[in-house]
Amino acid sequence: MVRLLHDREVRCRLTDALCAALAPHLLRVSLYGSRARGDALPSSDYDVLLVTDRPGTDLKLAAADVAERLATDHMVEVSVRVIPACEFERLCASGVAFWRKFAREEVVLWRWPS
Amino acid sequence: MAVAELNEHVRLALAKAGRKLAAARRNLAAGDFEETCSCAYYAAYHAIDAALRVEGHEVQSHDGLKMMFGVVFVQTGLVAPEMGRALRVLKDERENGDYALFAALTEEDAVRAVADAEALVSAMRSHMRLRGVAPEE
Repeated sequence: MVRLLHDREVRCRLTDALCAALAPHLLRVSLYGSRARGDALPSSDYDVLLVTDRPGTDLKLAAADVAERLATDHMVEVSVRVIPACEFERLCASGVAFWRKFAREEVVLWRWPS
Repeated sequence: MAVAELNEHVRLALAKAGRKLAAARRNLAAGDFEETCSCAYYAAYHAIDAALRVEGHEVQSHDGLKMMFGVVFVQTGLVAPEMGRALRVLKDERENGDYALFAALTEEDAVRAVADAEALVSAMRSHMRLRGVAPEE
């Protein structure tokens, strides 16, 4: 039986699960897009950016597992991007429109050390 | 959708999935990892879209396809749970590659994308064959 979650509960569960799955390499969990701006529809997905201390397929797969569990258990769609800290800093400083928008709307859900 | 029309749709979709898989392998050999991931995703996309139609579902978007794949195939146990994760990662990396907004894709990403797409296409083909609609390779 699928149990639907409120937005706040989704954010908490998502953050806890990501921290557990990607520790000790996780540095930051950020929400962006419509869920961060507050103009999401009930069916909107959660766009989440994870900053890690190193690149790695294992980290991407661990994050995808968390997203898959939320989709299966609670019908919540999460799009997770995993990006190493050095790349994140480079992209934020790039001036690309996407990253300027990201900086405006970002909601940091968790940051190391928290 | 009439049976003959559905059979034709499945035949064309699987042929397209096969061409996308071949393109993914060529791009991998050429060292173009972004195109590899994009082609691998679309191979899986066309096969899953056809299999969903066989089950009576027409999806209108990439997100819709991902969600319906989970509901129809993963949650019912028709495919292994790892397939759900594989489709999710393929979709995300296709977007990464197409829009170049995030970190660059690596050879490791591309090799895994091809393997995951092959597994997804094979699983969908097997499922449709069991349902009596997939043509032989």
